[in-house]
Amino acid sequence: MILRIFLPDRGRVVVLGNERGRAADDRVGYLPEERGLYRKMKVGELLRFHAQLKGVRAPQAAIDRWLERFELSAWAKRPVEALSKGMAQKVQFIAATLHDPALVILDEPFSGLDPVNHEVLKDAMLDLRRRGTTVIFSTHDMAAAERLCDQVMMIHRGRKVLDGSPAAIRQRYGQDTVRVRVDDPNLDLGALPGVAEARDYGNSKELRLAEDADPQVILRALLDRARVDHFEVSEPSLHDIFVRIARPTQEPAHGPS
Amino acid sequence: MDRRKVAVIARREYAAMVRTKSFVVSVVLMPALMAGSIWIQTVLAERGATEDKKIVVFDRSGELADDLAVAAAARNQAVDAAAEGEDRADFVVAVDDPAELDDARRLELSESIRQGDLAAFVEIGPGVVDPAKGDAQIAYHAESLAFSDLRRWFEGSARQAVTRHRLLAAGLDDAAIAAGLAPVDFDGRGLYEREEDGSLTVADKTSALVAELAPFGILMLLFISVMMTAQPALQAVIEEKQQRIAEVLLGSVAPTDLMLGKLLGYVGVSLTLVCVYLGLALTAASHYGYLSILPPALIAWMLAFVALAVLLYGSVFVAVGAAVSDLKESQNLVLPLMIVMMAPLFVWTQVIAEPLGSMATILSLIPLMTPLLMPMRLAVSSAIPLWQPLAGLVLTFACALVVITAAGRIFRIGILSHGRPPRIGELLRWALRGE
Repeated sequence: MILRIFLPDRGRVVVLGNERGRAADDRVGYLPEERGLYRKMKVGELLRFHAQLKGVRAPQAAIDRWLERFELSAWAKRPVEALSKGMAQKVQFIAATLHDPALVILDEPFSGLDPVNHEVLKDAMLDLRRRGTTVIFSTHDMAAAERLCDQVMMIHRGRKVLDGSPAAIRQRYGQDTVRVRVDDPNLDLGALPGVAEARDYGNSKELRLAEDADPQVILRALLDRARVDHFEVSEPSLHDIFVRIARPTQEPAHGPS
Repeated sequence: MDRRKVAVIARREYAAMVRTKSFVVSVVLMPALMAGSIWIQTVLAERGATEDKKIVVFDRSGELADDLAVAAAARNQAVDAAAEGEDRADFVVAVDDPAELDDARRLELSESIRQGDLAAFVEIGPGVVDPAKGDAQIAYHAESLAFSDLRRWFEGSARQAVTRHRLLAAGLDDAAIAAGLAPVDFDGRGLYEREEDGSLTVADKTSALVAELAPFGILMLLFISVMMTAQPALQAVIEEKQQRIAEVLLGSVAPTDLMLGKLLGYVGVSLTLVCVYLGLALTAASHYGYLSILPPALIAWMLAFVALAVLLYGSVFVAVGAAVSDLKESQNLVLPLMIVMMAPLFVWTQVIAEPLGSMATILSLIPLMTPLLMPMRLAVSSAIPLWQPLAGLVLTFACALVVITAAGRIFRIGILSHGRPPRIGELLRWALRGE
């Protein structure tokens, strides 16, 4: 909708201060979730094509710079179909950002990337942000969203259910989470007084407190039953909040964007 | 419309199509195939079959059998002489007694033709020379009457024998008959023109064969040039849709601009094709002295109409590609389109026979047929008034605009919709209302 591919049934779409027409197009970059690249074209040609489509007159320097940064220089003359999935994803990312957009929309940018490429792409995104580009991306990876984002919005079943900075959101849900590490893996923490819910993450466990429960009481109860290595009262993670919102309905949820 | 983006798209489409192996191959292969098939046919015709062909003749008139035997001998000798010692098929005429010919014998002969031992058998009626004596028919029985040298030879020889005997009966002698039947030289020529220095010249030789082949060649050239881009265009759009390339492109360019860019790219491809083929044709024509069949004005008209045809048909193919989600689904929609495109191929002979007739004029002004028929008419006759190709151009252009607008709407909606293919009704609604 931001790209004016789809038109809204109701309401208005204002992109970079522009409500009508496609004027904002060249200042917007878009990375779709599925790789959409001409398979027969050479990487260099393809990037030049995309840059020209966005109105860049002399894109070669920028292309070389990006390819260098993503360690793809050797692939510039190879056809796109020869690339691995991760490489293609990086090429697509370059295509979406070559024209120095003011706004970049990335749909699941990290899907299918190995940790190294994940890092490279993340750094590139942070770079864009430093240069003043607004980056909007969708992800199912709450940890990534929590670490990277200034603003998080969560859409569940077509409705916006969360909106704000990660810190503000966590705060709204209060200090109702306790992270513990105990030496007895089989201990049933859910049975402790004042614990509404216990979640097992393997080495560590996360407890959600019932309303008005006192963490100190729980700590004391825990000490009676096992050896406690770690006990931390904290805000719930975004992941937790996400699960809390999505779970009661048991519907497949969409990530925040 | 963003002209710069349209140009970027057009350039990419042109490069993508011209650079494919199949394009290069077909550009080279088409003329090679045509030349090859002509060459093979000439060689085969020259060589001919080597098995002798036997024909049994029952002559109730009692007058033709000897003449036919003589004619066969003369023919065999002429063929052998032309073959310079190589083995060639002889025609063997065996004369049989008509009194013995009954239905059992006819069946037996038919059977041996089916076995391949015999080529044909003939019953000559008693009255062929003098109808007063009864049945004046020659009945030629053979398995297949198509492309038969033997049948053509026999028909000619029998006619000649009959004529000879009728003239003999009228009191002429063989010398007078031979003189009377001597063939006349007939030569088709072009028209006179006055050169700049005042001298009169006759146009390059134009044989009847070339006069008939050239317009058909032009028709086929135009048809192939349009087809060779329309079909790959369809595939390209489907591929873009399947691989979600369209989604990315539409992030940068408006759907109508995308389609226009594609169409212009394809126009470029078709014009390239026509130029390559025309270049070959011109080389061949000037080599053999037939340059006058391809005047510059005709070439200009051809290029203009090819460009229009690609816009007209290409837009529909592109819209179909956008509406469906795989090649198989497109076939139902493409079939009627192909029939429309091929319509000129069904009527071209009428148009050639009378290029100035009202039928030819009307047909060639129907926008869907104009691009193919108008250049062909122009190739046949220089008497076609200028307003006709101009009107054809304007009408086709107007029609192309309407079609492109409708196709653009289908393209815009179809390119991003996946799943079930749209029904014709839905396509119409998209085309008319754009939603």
